Amino acid sequence: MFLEVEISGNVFLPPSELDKQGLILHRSIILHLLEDIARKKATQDHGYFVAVTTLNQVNNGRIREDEGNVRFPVTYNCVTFKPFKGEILEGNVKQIMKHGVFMSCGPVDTVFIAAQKMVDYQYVAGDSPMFISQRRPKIEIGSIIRFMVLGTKWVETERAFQVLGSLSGDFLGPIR
Amino acid sequence: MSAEEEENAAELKIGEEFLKAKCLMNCEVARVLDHRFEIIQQTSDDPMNNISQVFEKSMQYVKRFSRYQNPDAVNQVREILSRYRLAEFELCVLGNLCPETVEEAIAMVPSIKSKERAITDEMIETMLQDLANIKKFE
Repeated sequence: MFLEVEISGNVFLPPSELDKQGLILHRSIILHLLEDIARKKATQDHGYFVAVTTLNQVNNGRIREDEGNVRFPVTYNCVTFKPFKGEILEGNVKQIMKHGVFMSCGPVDTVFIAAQKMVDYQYVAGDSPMFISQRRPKIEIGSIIRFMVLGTKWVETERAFQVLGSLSGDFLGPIR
Repeated sequence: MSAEEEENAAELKIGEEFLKAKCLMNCEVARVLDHRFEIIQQTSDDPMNNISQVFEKSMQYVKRFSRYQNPDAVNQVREILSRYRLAEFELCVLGNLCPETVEEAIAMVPSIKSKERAITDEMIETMLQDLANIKKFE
């Protein structure tokens, strides 16, 4: 689910970017904030940082004596994407393997649905492997699938979430 | 959230802070990102280099998965859904998935039929009808 949350954080500016003209200072703070967010990519609590919408507050800066940088406490609104357990989402199939399919869903690159969670479906090997079913549309690379989130896992080293999905449930599976 | 009360969006257990946070439908996110991308294009010589991967992937995703394009329609969808006193989260799931039948709506948002609510099948039916009308006249 996409969310809009208010986040408090800090922006660190090197002395070279301090300017007595307020607007330029404000601009530097914004640019640094955007850079930080792009580098951070995601956090376990808030999910993926998609876009900062507003900068709500910039508090007085304080010089950090060890580095000479100035720290500005800021609060801002940010659009984030966080997968929740039990949520129903839609995604694209990227890879098909005997034991299940990998999908992407927005900023989440790894959504895995195990073959056991794809009731009625059978794996068909070949140049373009797929899962077929007697009653439902086939699943191949590029298919759009509606799935339920069984669980999520935060991977600190990649700063990303892994999502485990399932197709067992009414109205889940390939769509249009 | 306590350990025994595990997160489960189907029962609307997603943590206090997220229940209060503003959820956004895909079509609303598309609008925000479009606007942001326009600004980046105007102010930067190399726009593709100035957006994060998360931004790019999200933009592709919401474009593909938005059921409503027209900004007026997007506002109306939120307006109609908010008549039913749904939680933000439920409202956005319905707006994103656009269920066609009452059964489908309940399967997508099981918490809609919880006991404390007085939402009848007829009310859900009316709601889905209203949403379908927006789509038709968009």
